[in-house]
Amino acid sequence: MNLFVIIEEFLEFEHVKFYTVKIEDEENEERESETDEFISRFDNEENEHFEEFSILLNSIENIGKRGALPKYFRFENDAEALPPPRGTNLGIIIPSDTELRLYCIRLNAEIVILLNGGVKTENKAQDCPNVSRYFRFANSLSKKITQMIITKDITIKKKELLGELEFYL
Amino acid sequence: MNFIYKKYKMASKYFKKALNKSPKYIKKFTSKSFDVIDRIHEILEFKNLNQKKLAQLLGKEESEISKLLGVGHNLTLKTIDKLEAVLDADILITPKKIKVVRQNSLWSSSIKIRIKKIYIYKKLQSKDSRCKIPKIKKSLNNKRNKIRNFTSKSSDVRDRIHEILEFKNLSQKDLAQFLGKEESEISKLLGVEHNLTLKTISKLEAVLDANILITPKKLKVQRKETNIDKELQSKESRCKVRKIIPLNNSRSNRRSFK
Repeated sequence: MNLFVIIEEFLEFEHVKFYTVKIEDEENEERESETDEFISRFDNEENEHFEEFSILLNSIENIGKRGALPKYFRFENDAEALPPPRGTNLGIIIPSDTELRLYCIRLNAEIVILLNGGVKTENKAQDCPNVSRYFRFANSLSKKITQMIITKDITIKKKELLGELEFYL
Repeated sequence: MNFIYKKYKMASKYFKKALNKSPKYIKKFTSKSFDVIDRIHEILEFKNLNQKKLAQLLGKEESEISKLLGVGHNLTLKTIDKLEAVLDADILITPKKIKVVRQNSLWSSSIKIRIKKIYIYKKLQSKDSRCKIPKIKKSLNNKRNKIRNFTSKSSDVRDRIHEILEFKNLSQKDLAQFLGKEESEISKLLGVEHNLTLKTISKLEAVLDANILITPKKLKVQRKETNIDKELQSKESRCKVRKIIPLNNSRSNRRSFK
C-alpha cells in the first residue's frame, strides 16, 4: 500500500532545522507526526527507558545548537550503500550504551529529518519486532528523498527544504 | 502529486514539554558528553589522527572506539585518563585552575610554577644573568610535565568536590541527603580507588550547582583574560629585548641599557 507522506517542520535551532514526517491514511487522517508519536510513547517518568529518552531529547537540542555534524550520528550500513549525491544519510540518534533508537535522515549539517524509533531487541534492526517497521520506513524514505533531490523535486536552500514535500511513498 | 513551495509551521506538540521534564543532571551529562566528543575530535584533527589510528593506539577494535565516542556514552575517569595519555592532551580538567588564577592563590601546582617563573625572571633581571633563561625554562617545563604525570584526574576531581563542599559549607552527610544515598556510599564514591563516571560527575554537578570537570577549550579563553598571563607575557617580552643586548659588546649599547 502506498503511503502518503508529508514532510513538515519540527524544530528550529540556531544551526539546525529539524523536520519530521506525517503519514496520512484514509482511516486516520488526524495522525500525529512520527517524531511526536515517538515522544508521546516514551515521555513517562515511570518508563524504564526514560533516562535514555531524556538523553536523546537533550542530544537533539545539543545537535541543534552545535550543528548536525556526522560525528554526532551513527549511520546504518544500508544507508552507507546509498548513492551519495548530496550527502543523504540515514542516521540514528542513540544514547550510547542503550538500545533506544531514533531514526533520522541527515541531509546536511543544517537539515535533519527526524523519524520514529523504539527499543531495539535484536542484533539486526530488520529482525526486531519493535523497530523493524521504522527502520524499513526510514530506509525507503531516505532512498526516495535522495532520488527527489537528484531530480530536483526537493531543493535545499540554507536551512530550508523546498519543493515537493508531500508525496506517495 | 501536490507541489508545495511554502514553509510549514512548527509541528512539534510534545518536544519542549518532554525536554523540560528531563532531570538537570541529564542536561549536564549530555552537554558534557558532546563537549568531550568535540574535544576528542578536535585533538584528533589537530594531531592528524583518525578513529582507526586511535583504536590502534588504545589496542582496541574500531567499533569499540566509535561506541566510546558516541553521544551519551558514560565514560569513566580511567578511560579519559587513557585517552589523554594516548593523545597527549587534556580532554577534561577541573576548573580549579581558573579559580586559582583569578584569586592569585598558591594552591594549584601549575600556578605555583607560573608564579615561580615570574619570580625567577624577576631575579634574573635583577642579577642581569640573562643567558641562563633558556636552561631554566627547560627545567621548569620538565617539572611541569612531571607534576602533570603525577596528578591523577581522580584526585583532581576529589579535590574539586571537597573544595566545593567547603565553599558551600556542606558536609558529606548533606551530599548524601541531596543524592538520596547513604553516607557510606558517598565516602566510597569520593574514595581514592573509585572510578567515577561522567554521569555520576554530572549528578554531583547538578546537586552542587558547580562545575567539576570542563573541557580545556573554555579554560584557554578564560586564561587569556587573567592578569598573570599578561604579566608573564610582558616579562617574557622584556626578557627577549634584553637578551639581545649582551650579545653586542659595544660600550654605547651597555650604557643605554643601564
